[in-house]
Amino acid sequence: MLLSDLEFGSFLCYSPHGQDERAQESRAWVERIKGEHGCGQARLPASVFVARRLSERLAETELHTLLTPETVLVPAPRSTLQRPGSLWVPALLANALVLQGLGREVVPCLKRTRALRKSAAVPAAERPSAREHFDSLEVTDFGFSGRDIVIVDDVITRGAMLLGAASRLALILPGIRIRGFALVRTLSDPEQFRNMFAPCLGHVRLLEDGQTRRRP
Amino acid sequence: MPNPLVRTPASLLGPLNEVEERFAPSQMFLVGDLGLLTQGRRVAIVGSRRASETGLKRAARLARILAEQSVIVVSGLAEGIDTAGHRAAIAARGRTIAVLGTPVDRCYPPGNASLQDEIGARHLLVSQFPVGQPVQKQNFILRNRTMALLSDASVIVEAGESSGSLSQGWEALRLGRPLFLMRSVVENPDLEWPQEMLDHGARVLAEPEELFDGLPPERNREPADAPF
Repeated sequence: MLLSDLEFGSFLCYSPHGQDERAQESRAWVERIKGEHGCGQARLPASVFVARRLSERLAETELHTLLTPETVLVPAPRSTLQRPGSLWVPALLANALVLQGLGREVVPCLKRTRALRKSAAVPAAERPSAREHFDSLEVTDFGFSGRDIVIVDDVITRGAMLLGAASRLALILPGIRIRGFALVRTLSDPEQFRNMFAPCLGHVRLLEDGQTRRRP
Repeated sequence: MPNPLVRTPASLLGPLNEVEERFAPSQMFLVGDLGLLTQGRRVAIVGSRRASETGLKRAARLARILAEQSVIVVSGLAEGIDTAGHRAAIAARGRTIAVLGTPVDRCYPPGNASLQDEIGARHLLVSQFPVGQPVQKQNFILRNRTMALLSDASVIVEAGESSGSLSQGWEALRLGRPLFLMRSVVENPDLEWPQEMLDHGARVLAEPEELFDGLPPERNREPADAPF
């Protein structure tokens, strides 16, 4: 059973299609984050760098209501299968958030059981739906005492991944508050993109046709 | 052959993340233009030693197209696909890096000695094995991991079920780097490994030009500060 609505928050945004300098810069930053490259003058790992920036600017955002010292963070699994020891950016990001006091612990309990199409490699209409995410995920070894879970991902586009994953968790954790956090929000319309710093709280809603809609 | 320069991977590539650190060599022995590891984008072209004629042509075409776009072609100096990739990059006036499974003063296969000399003189030779160290079979698996580390993306052109190129493919996936499989490999009904790699995040490469969309930015071109 899929949730019809999921609260989410994000810190940054980027433009996958814009041609101006800022848009190109935003894409380069997303690649750095996805590659866990060294960032800033100290060349910190990208996850640590962005978590520090988020912590420094938290008071300018409403994200303190989402990422609290009591929040349990669950890293979003990749859309494909994953071997142990592989680069897993949402897990690195979740760990970095906990080090900044923006979460209590990281519980990597969501596992992909079969590969889905990579969203970046297919046209928008063929991206995996929330149902496909839900059907291809399982919950493993979940044991925690909190009342508040946030699923952490690196990038959110339509929110199908977060909604599918939250629905899977909600199935075995009734009564627990489950929300999502994505470090970066995709802005498909280049006209809407102004600056990477664009913190927000919003919703992912399930539409009648099975697609998802993210606002903002 | 001049004495090799000794560098750590991080001194050339920038700081490594914890996943990259795991199998990174502690030091590398280098002959040639070190700038090929500090600037530009690098794509590895790998595949079978006993490649088909079609496979060799595909490797050469891919290397030529990459070289024409100023992408550095990385390969392992082995017979077959590797040799085709190096030679085509050089013929197209591009740059190439050979990542060796031997110390830089040895050559395997011996028939590629002149190619190794040319790459050392005008391009770059990389080995993680110090001069004088005996050559062992496992060197070539370690070399493949290093080649994946040094490359922004990897392409498997043609490879059987037991090809050493598969170890590079798996390492690229572990590092979170783009791994492309030539469509002809994916469509070969006799092979099982392509589907397994696709399930773990590899992508199908139908046309060489598709590579350019999947290449990350140069990792050493990090801005001093962030716009957030």
